[in-house]
Amino acid sequence: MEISKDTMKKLYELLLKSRLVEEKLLEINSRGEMVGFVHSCIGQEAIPIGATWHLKKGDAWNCARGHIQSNIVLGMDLGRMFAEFFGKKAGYCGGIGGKVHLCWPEIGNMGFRGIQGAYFPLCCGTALSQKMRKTDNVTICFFGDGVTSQGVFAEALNLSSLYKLPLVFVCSNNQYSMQTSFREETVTENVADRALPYKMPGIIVDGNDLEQVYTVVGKAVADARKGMGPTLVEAKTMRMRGHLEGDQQIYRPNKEREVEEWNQKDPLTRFTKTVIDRGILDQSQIEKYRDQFQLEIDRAVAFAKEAPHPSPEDLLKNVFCES
Amino acid sequence: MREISMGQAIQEALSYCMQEDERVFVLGEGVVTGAFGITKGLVDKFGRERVINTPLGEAGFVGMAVGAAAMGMRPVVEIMMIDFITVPMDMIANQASKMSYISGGQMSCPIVFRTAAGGGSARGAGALHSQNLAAWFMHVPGIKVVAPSTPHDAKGLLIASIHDPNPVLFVEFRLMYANKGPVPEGYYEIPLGEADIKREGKDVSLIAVGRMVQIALEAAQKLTQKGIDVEVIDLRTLSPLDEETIVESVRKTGRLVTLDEGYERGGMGSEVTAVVMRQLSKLKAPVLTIACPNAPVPVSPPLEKLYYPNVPMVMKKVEDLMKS
Repeated sequence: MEISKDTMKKLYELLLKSRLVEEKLLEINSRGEMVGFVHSCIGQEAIPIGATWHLKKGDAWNCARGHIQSNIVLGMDLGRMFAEFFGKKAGYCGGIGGKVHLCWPEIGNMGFRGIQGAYFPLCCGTALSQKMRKTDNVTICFFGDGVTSQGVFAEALNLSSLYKLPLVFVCSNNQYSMQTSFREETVTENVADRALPYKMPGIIVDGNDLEQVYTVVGKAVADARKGMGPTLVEAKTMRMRGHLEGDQQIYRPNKEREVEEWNQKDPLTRFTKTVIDRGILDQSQIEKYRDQFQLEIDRAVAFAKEAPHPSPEDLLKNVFCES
Repeated sequence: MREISMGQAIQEALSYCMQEDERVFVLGEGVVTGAFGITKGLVDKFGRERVINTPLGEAGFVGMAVGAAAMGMRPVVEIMMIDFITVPMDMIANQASKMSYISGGQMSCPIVFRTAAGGGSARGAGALHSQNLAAWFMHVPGIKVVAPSTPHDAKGLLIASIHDPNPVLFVEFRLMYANKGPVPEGYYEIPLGEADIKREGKDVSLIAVGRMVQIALEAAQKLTQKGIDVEVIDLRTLSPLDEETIVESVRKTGRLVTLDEGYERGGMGSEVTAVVMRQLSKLKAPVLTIACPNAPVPVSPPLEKLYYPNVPMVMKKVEDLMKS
């Protein structure tokens, strides 16, 4: 699939903006100003961006490892996003959900986080709803390598294939599950191999190659829209930081070598070279984007910092919904 | 009025709601034929698309139902027995029940978990097929817990549960499915959160739920011969609890007895007692909580007979209470 110049340009903008947001989060966290946990996805942004690009109104997805890139692709307001990260009332969930439960059904972000793996059957459910309503909508289920050891992963592969659900599984295999390496977690060579017994395609892509992710997930999404059932895409990548910020990673003896090796494969560096080499963007345009996005992000953070906290009466709101 | 069984009443409610609203569908293990026959025949009216047989894997299919509810469908998912509810517990207690709150009210989860509870058949179903774990869910914010005691209540409460925009655990009792009673044809609802005074009395308030309401009524009837006038309150909904009806009754009678088919410790009786004692400082007698022992259910038929509360046991305990 040839990607148009216009799409390439937009993908680049999203990748750059996402990187700057990740860097801002790390900066905020290092100053101790973050509320809740930061699971950094830096260096893995190409996967959600390339996948989410293909979503449209009525589609659904889950926010697996707290990846925020899909929200950026689908036009979430950064001010309200940071407000939610800070637990402020102006956030999408009124400051009640936080970074871990950020959701906004308007753009298909159903949340579904908190307990890793729960989203597998939940995503089968959103896809079942899409199918029962006879729409051409799809669900993307994002997840990491660690959570493939949850039993519900196998159940969801079976259910989605059994009912031919419009569902695309997108795995960011960053080789680490908290303190444990992928090799210590399973004897399965690749996550994609798990597709085989469930009679669905299982495809491995280079997760740091935005074009490849875009193309492969694009095909899987198109197939799902046509009623051809689920696909499992495994995007190989590397966790560049700890599980959580502050994690000393003593369980990772080869950390420096790994990070150094994968720095060479950084998706933003690679995609920058691609768009420059192909004459889609030049360095000065990129600098202009960088300044523009930085300003947007700084404004968003300032808005979120100033925003009021929820009021005491919000403590007991929405335990049950009224209608 | 015509009389139908509890099982038929439940099916009527399902059928009514499926007819009325295309978003309503049922799923679970073998629902096309129905493990207890409750959903049997729905497939003829609504087809396989809305009566979905699932694989044996409760975390998967219950979670799938929760996900569909998050998208605005109205699933009624059958968990064959409440003993199996430990398997999809995360989907119920964490995912469905907290969806409204943690999304800041952006999302809702209009789902009904239907499940069969309890035992007492002396047929040796044993520790993992005879429990009533309904009280666990009283502890979880964001889910309603309903347990009918008559065919009439079952139909009205189930329609109300399906119409409710929140997750509802709907607890049925296997031993009651064949029980017959008067049930109006067509639509009616019984509001969730309202207890029902099944029998008025002045000496003692006997607060029961589900199958135990029958035991309570029978015991109350027989206790009149001993000169004891028992008021029987059917909670119908364990969460939210109808605190007003409970407290008003005990204020009148001055004596509180609870009767439940779950384990005694941390159970329905403990919660009802707390509700009463928060508001009334003086009773005529100590509170009595009748429930199953804090032990798993035995298979041995004679032991099983000792295990579940029964009419003579309730009568004896209430008589003793009146003498105290």
